[in-house]
Amino acid sequence: MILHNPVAISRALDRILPFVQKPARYTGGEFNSIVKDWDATAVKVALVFPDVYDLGMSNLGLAILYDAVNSKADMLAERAFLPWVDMLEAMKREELPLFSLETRHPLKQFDVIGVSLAYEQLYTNVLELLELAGLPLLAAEREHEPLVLAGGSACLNPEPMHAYFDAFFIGEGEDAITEISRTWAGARRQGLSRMAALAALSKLEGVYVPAFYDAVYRPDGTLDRTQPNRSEARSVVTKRIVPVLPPPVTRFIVPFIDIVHNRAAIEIQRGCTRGCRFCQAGMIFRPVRERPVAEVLEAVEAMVGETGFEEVSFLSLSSSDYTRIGELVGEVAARHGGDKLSIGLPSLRIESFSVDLLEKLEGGRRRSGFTFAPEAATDRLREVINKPIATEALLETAREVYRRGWPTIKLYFMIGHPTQTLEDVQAIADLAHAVRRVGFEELGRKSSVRVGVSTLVPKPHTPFQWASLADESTIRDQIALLERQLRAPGLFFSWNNPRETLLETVLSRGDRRLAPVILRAWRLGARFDGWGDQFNEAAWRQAFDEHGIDPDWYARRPRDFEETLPWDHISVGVKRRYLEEEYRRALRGEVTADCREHCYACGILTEFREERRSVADDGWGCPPLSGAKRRSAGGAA
Amino acid sequence: MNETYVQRMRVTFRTEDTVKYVGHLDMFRAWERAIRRARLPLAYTQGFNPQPRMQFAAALPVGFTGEGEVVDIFLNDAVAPEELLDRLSAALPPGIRPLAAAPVPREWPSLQSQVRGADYRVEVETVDGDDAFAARLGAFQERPEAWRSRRKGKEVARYDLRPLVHDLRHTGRTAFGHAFQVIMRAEPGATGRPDELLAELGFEAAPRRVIRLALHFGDAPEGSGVTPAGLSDNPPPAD
Repeated sequence: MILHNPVAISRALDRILPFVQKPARYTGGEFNSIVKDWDATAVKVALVFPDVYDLGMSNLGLAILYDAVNSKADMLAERAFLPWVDMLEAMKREELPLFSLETRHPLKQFDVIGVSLAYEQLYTNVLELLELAGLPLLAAEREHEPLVLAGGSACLNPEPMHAYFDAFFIGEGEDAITEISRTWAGARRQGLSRMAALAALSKLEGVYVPAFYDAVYRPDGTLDRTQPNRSEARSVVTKRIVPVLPPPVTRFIVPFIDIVHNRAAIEIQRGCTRGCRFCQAGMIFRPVRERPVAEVLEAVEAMVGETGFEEVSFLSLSSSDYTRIGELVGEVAARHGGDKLSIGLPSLRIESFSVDLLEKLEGGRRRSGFTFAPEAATDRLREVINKPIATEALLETAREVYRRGWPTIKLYFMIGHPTQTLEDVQAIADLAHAVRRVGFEELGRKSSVRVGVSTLVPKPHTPFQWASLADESTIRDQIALLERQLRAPGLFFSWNNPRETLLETVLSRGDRRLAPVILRAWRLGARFDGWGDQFNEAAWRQAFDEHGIDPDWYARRPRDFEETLPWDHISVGVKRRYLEEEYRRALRGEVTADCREHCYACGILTEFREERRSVADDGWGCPPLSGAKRRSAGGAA
Repeated sequence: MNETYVQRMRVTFRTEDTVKYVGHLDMFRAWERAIRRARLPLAYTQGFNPQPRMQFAAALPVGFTGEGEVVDIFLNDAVAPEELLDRLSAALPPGIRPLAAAPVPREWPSLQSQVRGADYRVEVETVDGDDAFAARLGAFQERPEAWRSRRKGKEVARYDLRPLVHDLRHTGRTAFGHAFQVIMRAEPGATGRPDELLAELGFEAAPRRVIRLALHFGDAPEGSGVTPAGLSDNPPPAD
């Protein structure tokens, strides 16, 4: 039976949906979902988050692109997600292809399939979705099929997935998604071959077509270079940015079922000037762009009216650094303090001002715990990672939190930072106990501390990209030490599986030789790798073994500055030289101050000079390109 | 307890295919959000954890659509029924369509306690011919009893389905099988459900469409004199 139209798909759904979990994941029809006339719309884009609905619908990027495409009269965007395992089995049994939620068209019938590649644990899910959509897995084997395009943070090292995508988009896609889709659909309708259409795409800013590049390796196995094999391919593909944040999405789709984040969200600020050396987001989302307070307030008003959500979350990498955060919070509290709207304000700095802010937002309610991410437990190590805050100040802030009635503090740490010693690990336990004592003094047995510990994954495009993942036995010993010491009433400890961390590290730092390993692991049953209980370590181990690839060679081999990295031909505008200098400073324990105060010439201002000129002086966190500051930026770049 | 609401509005609505897999709790929340979008003055319960004051007559099982579902919405300010309908129509998801609204006395007993049964139309996929299908229905009606068990938490309750089934009528062929109509009664401790009836008829897992056509309120009549979906001039008898 071949099912390739909406009516047949709907019939089949009635046969299988009564027997799967959360069937409303698969039916669409939500308030604010947009159903356009299929036959009357020229350019059709499927936006896919390669994990379940519950996760994908919580992704702000997807909502932004959905809005951007659907706002164009000649285009439509429809959503698809990867069905959960029970539905996957049912769909395969019924030979039902992956379909869009809005009109139930098979993905194959769209012009473009835009896949959100937000993190590496989605790689096997991408293969699952391509198969379910009935598409050849290998880009090289596709002919008349839709463009399979990736976007999102994991594209910053596209190489491990190079074989499966026709193109990767690097950077901020608000404008690019419509340009790419129209260019592709236009080229194909003109009768251009797939390769010629891809060549047209590769001329667009931020588009990387992996087929136009070759990776050359040295005898010792390290990468020599990634070079273009066609004249029109650029030697380095640089990310694309929007100089000013476009108006925020307010008309969010309102899911029927509970999803991970049941709320509307608004980015109050993109980018971060703190320069934490482990943090990929802090490096790749530069420059800092703030949204005006008035725009945020208006958007909140609109969201309440257009969605009816109970919660609106203010997103940014560091809410405390939003210049007018006090004013914003004061205004929101004044306007919405009375109604039942709750406002989420994550990523607050560890200082008592943060406690003031949340107190204002929550009014008399104490909804959840207070979350802080010191990431390291000693003053010294926090200087290495460039997240300086004194232990004393942390304890004072904790006291303030408990005193004002929040019973729970969550503390997030990482182990495995460069230069970390056993004392630094011991300090995590000591600090947790110290916070717990403070809680006990202020609130008694009601108080608690939750400690989450993950292992540093040295991510591409960060100063720590040359560092190595800690040895498994070391990680296990350190976790065991913490587990022994963090047993006390009111103290809760959780940590990440070191094997999952290893896989994440390998996939994020890998090169083209990992592509067949990912395919093999998937064929052996790996999928939903980010789901803990679904993580199929045996499949991955066998896949690595069969291809003679040692995961440790990718994850645990220290790399020096001489080595060509698999992502060196992808630029986020931050210069390699800046990252190298930051890594050296880390090893020397030197702090680099917030770059709002002083420009350290990371490269953004040079790379995006034109964009900088197009916005107001205070439009970016970076200094304006004028006078002395311009010389300092230009001079060092 | 000190209540703030001044108006109790009874709304009849239809649910369509796109929302038939939405569970009852999610449906409740979908209404709450729609009422917020419509900026209607929904009343909340008092206390530490305020809940919206809405009463649905009867949860619609997942997979069913409804032609005459009923909900009571309690409001802190009086709103004209037509205005409420207009605002709700714009604010509800496309698969939930409000049909009628009328204020009812605030002191009437809860809607849920007044449900006595419902009319259903059921279509089921089968290769049965006309006679074979009619014979199945006839055989069930001949039975003196039909004991089923239903799990309630850890306990398994047994109940007789047969007296809950009335007016079982074959209504003809459909595109992929046969259709019948039936009145299923609701009694304290036992609510007749068409999926249970389907199982007794030998259609445990066959694809089906189930439409709840109308709910019966008050003293459930035997097929006639059905109280129109709560919009009657006569108050239902108090418990």
